[in-house]
Amino acid sequence: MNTKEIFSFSVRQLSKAFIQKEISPVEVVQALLERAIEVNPRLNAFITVTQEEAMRAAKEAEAKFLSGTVSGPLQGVPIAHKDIVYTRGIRTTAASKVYKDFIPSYEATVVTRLKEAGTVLIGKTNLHEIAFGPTSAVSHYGPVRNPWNLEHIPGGSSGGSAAAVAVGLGFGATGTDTGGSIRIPAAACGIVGIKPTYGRVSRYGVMPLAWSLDHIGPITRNVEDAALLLEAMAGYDPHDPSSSQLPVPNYARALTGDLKGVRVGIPKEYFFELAEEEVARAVQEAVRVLENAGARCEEISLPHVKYAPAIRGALIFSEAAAVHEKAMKTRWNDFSADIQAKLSLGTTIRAQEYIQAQRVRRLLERDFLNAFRRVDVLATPTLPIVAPKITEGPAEVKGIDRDPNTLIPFTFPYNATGLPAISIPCGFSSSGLPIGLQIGGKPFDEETVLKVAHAYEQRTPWHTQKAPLSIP
Amino acid sequence: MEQGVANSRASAEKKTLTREAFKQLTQLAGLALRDQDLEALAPRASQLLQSIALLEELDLEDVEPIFLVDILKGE
Repeated sequence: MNTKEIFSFSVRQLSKAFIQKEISPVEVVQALLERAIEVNPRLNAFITVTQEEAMRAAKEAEAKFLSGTVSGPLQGVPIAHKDIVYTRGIRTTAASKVYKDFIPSYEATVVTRLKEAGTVLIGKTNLHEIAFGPTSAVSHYGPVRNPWNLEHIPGGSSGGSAAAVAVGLGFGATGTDTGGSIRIPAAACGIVGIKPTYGRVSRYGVMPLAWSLDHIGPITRNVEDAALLLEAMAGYDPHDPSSSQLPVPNYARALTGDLKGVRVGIPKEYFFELAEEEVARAVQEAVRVLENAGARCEEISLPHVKYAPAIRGALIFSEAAAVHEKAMKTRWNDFSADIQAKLSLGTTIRAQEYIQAQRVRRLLERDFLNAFRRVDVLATPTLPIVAPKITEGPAEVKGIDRDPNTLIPFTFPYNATGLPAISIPCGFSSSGLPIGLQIGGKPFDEETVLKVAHAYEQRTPWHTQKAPLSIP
Repeated sequence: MEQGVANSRASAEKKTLTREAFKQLTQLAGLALRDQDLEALAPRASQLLQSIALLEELDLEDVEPIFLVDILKGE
């Protein structure tokens, strides 16, 4: 087998190739490490490439295939972790000068679980510093670039994870999502990212940004891979006080391709009003695809969703300032100007404003839960625009602030409510940049979210399109 | 109700943080910002507070805050 073929393989294809001994985990890791040397300087997706660890784990996986003791479809599959996910003995920088020498003495629960599932860690990915921003243009290690156009941002904060996966430097990666940081880069890079329900995946061992809003999830090239990784990551963890004890379903089994009887809600306010025309058009076309596949689509109302940006303003800034309070006092000058600005703003929010935002958050939650009495999922754009240029400054379009730092109006409502949501590719702009479709669901109903996303994916070509940089 | 909304919008617009007030708040948080940062960030802080003040237009009587998203209670 030509090792270059593997860069666009799905997890299932790779697993099958391992089982049929067409290629070995060691050969795959070698090919990926060589490719990383070639591509990473242009993308800047990785902060650390864990060459030795990757080869060691690949040899271990190879031995399991030889001895017939394979643990499952993720055995020997190379993945990456966002560099705020703690990896024991491997530096975890959060893309910040403040944490550049931080070597965790323990690992995140998601790291343990993905290791137990057989994955091979190939590196730690670049991000927006301390995960506090949606561009990934602000990093102590330099900006991450979008593989579809290197002058553009890949989205963030999990920009390195998305850029790496989009070009085949790994078959999946972990991301974190406090305001959209999994779904935004997935949409901007033309791939898949799912933020599960709050409590579904343990937050233990992941540097927080805002405790009440942080989520962990996978970023992959297709929906089935997302289902496989999510299943491995999910489950109760006594180390995380918000962890749910609900059993983890077999997500891949839900991917039937059948949408008959599925009810899809289209919010009548906010999302389509604020999205740029070609983004709104692509998502409306995606809704037609769902209808043609047997789904019943209907308009629903979310009266308080317009307050989501205000809720975000009160919660993220103040929680982040609390998380980083010690470093703010001792390492202030080691934060970038962007992060200094955001953290200092967090000190100006009064306790009353924080509490009021938590009260409005309840109204928003009621809106979504009311909507989910009538429909199974909601379909919206993931982003109001396509990825802007790295150098692009603030702008206002259709009354919304289009500062690249405020790319999150459509993703944040799912952080505030804790509900699951996925972004999948649904087209391209006239400038050749990917557009994302966001599908949100009921509490702990990741199965339906994945099922609808997969059914759409099966009927459209977008996930088969490759970023120019992904072609060896 | 409409009058209430109008009042809260007016109050949101009034929520400006002077450079001095911003300096005091950041000092209370243990930060010593440079003059140029205070100059640049005070208007951004005002903008943030104005955006948050939009929440004042809502009637929140009988609405309790969320401290941990309620969906976890479904277990």
